[in-house]
Formats: sequence, structure tokens, C-alpha cells
Amino acid sequence: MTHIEFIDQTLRDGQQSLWGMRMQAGMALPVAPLIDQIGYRVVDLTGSSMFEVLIKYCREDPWQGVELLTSAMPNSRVRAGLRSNACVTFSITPDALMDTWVRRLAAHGIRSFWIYDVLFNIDKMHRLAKVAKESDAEVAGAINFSLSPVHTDEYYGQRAAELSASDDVDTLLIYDTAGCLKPERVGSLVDAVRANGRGKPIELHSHNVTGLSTLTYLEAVRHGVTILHTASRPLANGPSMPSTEILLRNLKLLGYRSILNEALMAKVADHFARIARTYNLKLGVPNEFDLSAYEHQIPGGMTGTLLNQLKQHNMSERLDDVLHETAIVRKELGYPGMMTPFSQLVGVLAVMNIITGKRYSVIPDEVIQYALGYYGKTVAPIEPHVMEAIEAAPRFRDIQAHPPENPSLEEIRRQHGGVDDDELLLRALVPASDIEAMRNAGPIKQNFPTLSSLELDFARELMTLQQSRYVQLQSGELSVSFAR
Amino acid sequence: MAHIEIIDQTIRDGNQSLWGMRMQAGMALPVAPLMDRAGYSVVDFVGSSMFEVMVRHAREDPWEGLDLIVRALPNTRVRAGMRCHGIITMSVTPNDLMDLWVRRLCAHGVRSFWIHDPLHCNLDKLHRLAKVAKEYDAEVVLALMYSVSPVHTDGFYANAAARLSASADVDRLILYDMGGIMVPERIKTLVPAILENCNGKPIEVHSHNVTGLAPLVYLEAINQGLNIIHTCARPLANGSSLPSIEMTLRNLKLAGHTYGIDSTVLAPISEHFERVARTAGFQIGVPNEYDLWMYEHQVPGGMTGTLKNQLAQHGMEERLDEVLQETANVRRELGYPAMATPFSQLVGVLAVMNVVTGKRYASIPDEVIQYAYGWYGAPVAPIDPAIMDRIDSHPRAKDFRNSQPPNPSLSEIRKQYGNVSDDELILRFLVAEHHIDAMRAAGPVRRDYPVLQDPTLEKVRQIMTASTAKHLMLATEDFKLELRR
Repeated sequence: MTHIEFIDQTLRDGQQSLWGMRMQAGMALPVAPLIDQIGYRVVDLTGSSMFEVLIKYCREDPWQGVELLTSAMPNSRVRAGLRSNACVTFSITPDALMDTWVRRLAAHGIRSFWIYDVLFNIDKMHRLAKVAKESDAEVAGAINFSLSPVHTDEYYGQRAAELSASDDVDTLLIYDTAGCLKPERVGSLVDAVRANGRGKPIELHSHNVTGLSTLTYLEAVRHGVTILHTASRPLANGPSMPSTEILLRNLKLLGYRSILNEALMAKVADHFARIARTYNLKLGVPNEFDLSAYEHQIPGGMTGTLLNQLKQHNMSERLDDVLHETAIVRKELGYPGMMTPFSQLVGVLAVMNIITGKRYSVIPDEVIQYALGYYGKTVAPIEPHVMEAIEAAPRFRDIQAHPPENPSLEEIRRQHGGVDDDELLLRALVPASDIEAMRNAGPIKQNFPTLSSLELDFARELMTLQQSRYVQLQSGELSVSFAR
Repeated sequence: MAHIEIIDQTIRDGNQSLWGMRMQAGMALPVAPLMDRAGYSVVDFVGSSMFEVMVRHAREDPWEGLDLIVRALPNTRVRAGMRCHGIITMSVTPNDLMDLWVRRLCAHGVRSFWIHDPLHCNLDKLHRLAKVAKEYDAEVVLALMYSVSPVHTDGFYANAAARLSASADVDRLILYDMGGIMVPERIKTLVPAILENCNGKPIEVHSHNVTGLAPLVYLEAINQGLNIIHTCARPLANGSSLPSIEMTLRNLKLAGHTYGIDSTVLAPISEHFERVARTAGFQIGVPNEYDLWMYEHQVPGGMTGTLKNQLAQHGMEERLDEVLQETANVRRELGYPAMATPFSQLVGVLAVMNVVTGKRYASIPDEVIQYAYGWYGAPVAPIDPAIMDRIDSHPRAKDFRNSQPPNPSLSEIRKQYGNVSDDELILRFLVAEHHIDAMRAAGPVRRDYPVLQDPTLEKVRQIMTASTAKHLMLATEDFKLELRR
């Protein structure tokens, strides 16, 4: 039977979905040599949002981290991901800077890229693929999956035909951020993509939000998908992808083959479970089936963000209203796929509509830019009454008069003064003050000690919990005393 | 869109699937008044195994526990369940004792029964017990035990539905998926087949969320016209248990259905059981990853743990997958009995013995021989001839061949147990007398179960349990911890 390959998402989307991108290089380094030997087709590692989080919150140099990890995995193709027209900000990044981003990632050891664009600006995707090919990197062209009347199998078949037309695109990646790709849909979708994919291998990436992704993967494999995105069990499930462990088990039962080293997988899983427990990070558990995932299609992590925004206005009980409003806003905006930046824009609008009680009374700049086509062509027309509200927004004229600039690399370099390209990219991502604080924090931490015994684990928690200076407790034959 | 009736399984099957039936009455009593207000049509609670566990392990009088729970649920029907031909033991229980069990449960306030026969053939026993329950006007629900095999077709269940529902003493049927192996696609053909043959009686659905698909099974069952489902409070739901009431209500609402549940009481109920679980060290239910393997062996959730323990006794834990595979083989060879008590255990024990000894069917339990000779009724498919030969040539075969299970009358049974009350008689039938003595010595049933509220105390308790060293000292910059024994 067919041979199935795996792309490891433990270090990238697993931790993005469950740890809020707080995995530092030193948390993965001790097991990187093991991951290198497991037999993954590709190990996904980074993206521009991770760069931002590492600098701002972990005070860690992401370039250094990428280098440490790629050198620790000499036998693996390491992947980075990018949106075709932006890094980090919700707005639009100049082409020259995007190209530099790809070149510098390649210079630091990245040899695989997945490139996505919710609105399918195919020209931009192909340009970046060509840049990646300068370093002989592999390119996966992403087909982001979304539920709407316009996102039909035919629609995706056409996108597959366009994407696969370039020789620089090696694989097609069906990418289901919201976990709303059902087992009963995936068959016809894969058929449509395959029929138009010029024989290029198809990857599947689906978040296990409803608990059904494993079934979706198995059905996809029956229809010819050969590359699956999974994560080590502690970083799998819930808002993350299915675990590599359960996929292997199920595929074996169905008679498929794979070459992964399961003994090493167990060691890696054990390491990340200990890291999670020691540093109070979340361990992935499967979700109970939830129909609402199909309604709002909000990516896993975003529900928490929405809840926080509502809490700031003392309206946390209205989360369900916001989720419902999200579905309506998305429809009115012409069904953008619920991925960055549109998931955030739709979410913010939904929150504002509920909080103010007046729909579209507040309109963020990026929504105006979207309506003006700055991100590309919308997949369906924006509804007329919403378009009117956008055109009536105070900022509309100004934004219309100033379409995004597309400066050359020389111009951008001049703007940032004589810094090297790595530094230039960091400055494009975060304020200089954050970079400075990162530098002040010293060299990158290469190891994160984990507590190894139950007793130590509890003791550590006690130390955190215990506030008073001295406590003594006695039970039967054991006495415990605490002194500060 | 449908109006959905909910039956609560928190303190019965949730407890059975996740807590090994160790829930004491005092663990549920503090929230029983909330459960009474929730709007469940029925709260399932009692089974004979749970009686046994309460006496032997919790040293708690289960009759007293039952009275306390029934009194705390004045507005809700309390349910008990039983196999039509047996309580507790794997073997066959005399009819009069089964009838007495139903009557005594009714006397203690039970007003709903679900009764099953894994072979779906003992109509006389099923309908006799239904009649006894009707003496007290209790509700009677007979079970269609879901199983996957070449014989367990839609036609098989349609036929069983027709026969089971034929008695006027039967109020409802229940489609009972103990292994969590039901899938939404099967519901589409199975439910219409049952509905056509159930004499218009309502059908309940009970599906263990072993593969994560039970919520979809429920939604599809509702699409096919059923409207009574079984759920648990979240800490006792999922994994080898049933779907949670919390998520079920959410899905029902989104699918456009209605229900009569007061959802404001659900959070305090779940919080309470979660605290009990943490304090007592019981498992809190989490959904499983989807695992095709479940469909292969059909071993009920709780049983995998038992098999693991049995293997551990022989230092062979690593051979679990082999035992599960052997379970599927043995079940086929024995004529596909549904994997419910007693057959799930019998098949499981045989599978373990076959793997551990390395010689298949080298040892055959009495109950398997009894099964082969029809003590439990006719097998749904013939036993494999090679295996039947092994059974025929077993030294114990002559004791059970051409014979019937003993069926003494109640007066004979009473004579045997001496001058005791019927409640006591049942307890003595279920467990050894010294356990009953130990239970009495332990005093009355506790009305509550103190739960630790302070997380610090909880951690200390865990350290005390976990630490085995005589002296342990830990220090950080500003903090020192010492443990002494």
C-alpha cells in the first residue's frame, strides 16, 4: 500500500496552537537530534509571528534560535511559513522585504517553505516560490480551506491549477486552520485538487478542533493524500493537529506503511510533556465534538483573544453572540478565509459590533484596505450595505488616496540606516526598544531544566503557591515544614 | 426540529466507566438536589455490581445509599439496570431472586428499569421482569445491545425490536452502544429499521464516546427520529464514558433542537464532581483520540483496564494489543456474543488465558461451557466446530451438558439463607458475609465527602502520598522545604 509521509508540526503549529508560540529554542534543542532521526519528511519550525513573540515576550534572538535548531537537525528539511503579502502586521509588506525574508531564512538553514494567501494572489505566491528556489528550498503552495457558498470544490480545483502551474511549487498543501474540513467533504476536495494539481504530492494540515481530523486524514489518504501534518502527542489535539502517534496506529491498521521511529517519538513526547508541566504550558487533549466550529470557523487560539477583548468591556457572557456575529460579518465581507489577517479583522469587527451595539460604527483601517482590494481580490463581493458603511468611514478617503507603497530593498535599507538584512527584518517586525531589551537579556538559553520526579514536581508547585514564611503540616507518619 | 429528553448517567455509567463504581452516596448527595432540578427525565443510579463494590470496597450499605439518593431526588425517576438472567456472578441467577431484586429496588424507590439480554433471546425472562416492575408502576426499558458482526445486521435488530417491544409491560427500548463502536452512517439504516418494528415505543440512545463520535451518533439518531439521549456531567463524561451534558446541549441548540434542562445547575454539579475526583484521586474524563482499533476488538471502555491488570499479574503488559486481537478472534469463534456482561468478561478472560499460556483454549471457564450448552440462551451464531469440540471434551462438560441452571424457588432460597430480611438476603447473595460484617462495623453511610478546597493542601496531600524517602530536603534561593517520615 501507499507510503505515507509526515511533516512534524510539534515545534511550529503544535506550540502555536497550544503554547501561544512561547516555545524557546532551548526547550526543543535537547530533543532536536532525536527529532532529526525520527524520519519526518519535513520539520516545520518557524514563521514571522514566532519571531515577534520570541523577541517581545521571551527576549530571545530568533535568528540564533533558528540556527541552533537547524544545525541540530542536519538530516532534516526544516520549514518556515509565510503569507504572500505580509509578515507579522495585518497590513501589507513590500515585495522586496518579503523576498529578503525568504532569502535570510534560507541563509539560516531553512530548506522548505509553505506559502499562503487567503485571497490567492498567485503572482505573489509564485514570485516567493522562485526566490525560495534560489536556495533549492522545497515549496508547498497552500490552499487554505474554508466553508462558504463560494469555497466549492471547483473553486479549490481552479486554485490548485493556478498554484501548480509554476515549476517552483513542489507540493500542494490543503490547510484547514479552523478544523472545519469534515471527513465527508475531504474526499471530493482532494479529488478536485488532485485533478488539477499536475501530479504534485498533496499535503494535509487540519486542526483537530472537533475531534474529527483523524478521520479526515484517513479519508484524505484513501483519496491520494500522501503527506500529513501532525504533532507529538503533548502538542497535538484540541486546537492543534492530530497526534503522529494516533495517525501511525490508525494507518497501520488500514495497511499503510510509514518509516517513523516510534521509540524516538516516545522520548520526544516525554520531553515535551515534562517541559509543559515544568513551565506551566498546556498539554494537548482532544476536544469533545462541537458543532459551533462549523459556524464561526474561528481558529482555535482566537476564541481566547475574543474572550479577553470582551472581558475588558465586562461583557464576557456575550461570547456566543460574538461568535455568531463573526459568521455574519464574514458573510457580509465576502467570505474571506478565516486565517491571518482576515480571521482577526472579522473577529475585531464582530466584537466592535456587539460592544457598541451599532454594527459597523467602528471600522479598522485594514478593513478599508481590504475593501479597496489592497490585499487582493475578494472571493465574493462585499455586501452593498457594508460597502456603503466602509465608504462612509472617516478614514476611507485618506486610505483610498494612499495605496500601499512597494519600495525597493535599497529604499528600505536606506530608511533603516546601515544595518544588515537580519537586523533590518527584525526592525520591520518589532520596535527597536524590544530588540534592545532582547540583546540586553544576554545569550540564548540552550537548556530548560525539567523536574523529573513527582515529588519534585509537587514541591515546585508548593513553592509557588506557598506565601507565608513558615508552615508546618503533620499527617500520620509524615511531617512537612516550609521555611522562607 | 425535535424536543430532546435527557437521561443522566453521571452517577451510574459515568461512575462505572471512569471511577470503577467507587462513587459513594455521600459524593453525590450534596448536589443531588441540583440534579433533581436539572430536568432530567431519569437519573440512572443502581446496578448489582455497584452494590457489590459499595459493600466490599467502600464498606457502605448500598440500600441505605439508595434510600438517601432517592429521597434527595423526589422529582426524578431513579433507574436501575440488570441483565435478565443474572446479578453479579457471571453465571445464571434463579428467576425468583431476579424478581425479588426488582421488587426490593422498587420498595426502595426505583421507578425505572433497563433490562438487557446480550443474546436478545430470553424473551420470557425479559418480559417476566418487566411484569414484576409493573407491579410498582415502574418504567421498563429493554435494551438492544449494539454489536458489530456478520449476524448483527439491521434485520437482526429489527427482529429483536419487534420481539422485545411486543409486551405491554415494556414502555421503551434503548439502543445501547456499550463499546462506543456505533458510527453515524450505521445509525442512518439501523434506526429506521428499529423504528419500523418497535410497536411505536420510544427508543433511547446510549453511546460511549470511545472514539469521539458519540455526539455525532446522537445528532444523527435525532435526525432519524429518536429523541431520548444519555449524558453525564463533564468530569464523568467522555473517554470511555458518555458525551457530556454541557457539550450535548450546545450542539443540540446549534442544530436547532430544544430541551427542558435548566442549564444553570450544570456548572455547580460539574464543579462538585471535579473536586470529588481530585480529592479522591479519581479519573476526570477527557475525550479520546480517534482510534480505529476500537472497532476491531469491541472491548468496552472499562474492560481494557481490567485486561491490562490481568496481564500485569503475569508481567506481560506489553502484550495488550495481542490480547485485544485475540479478543476479536475468540468472540468470532464463540458465535459473536455482544460484548456486554457476562460475555465481554468471558471472551476477555479466554483471550488473556490464550495469550498468557500460549495454548489456545487450554483452560476453559465453567461459564463458557454453560454458554455453549445454552444456559444463557441460544448463541446468535453457531460456535466454531473446532472450539465446540474442545468444549465437549472438557472434563467439566458432563456437569453442564443436557442440564439447566439451578432455579430454586424463593422459599427454598430463604431456607438456605436463614431468617433474614429480603434486603439482607440479596446482599448475602451478592457478597461474602464477612464483607457485610465489615460494612456494618464501618458505621452509617456518610452524607457528604469533604473535598479539599485549598490547592496548597491538595499539593501537600499529594506529596505525602508520593514521597517514599525518609527525609527529603529541597531549597531554592528564598525557600526551603523539608519532608520527614
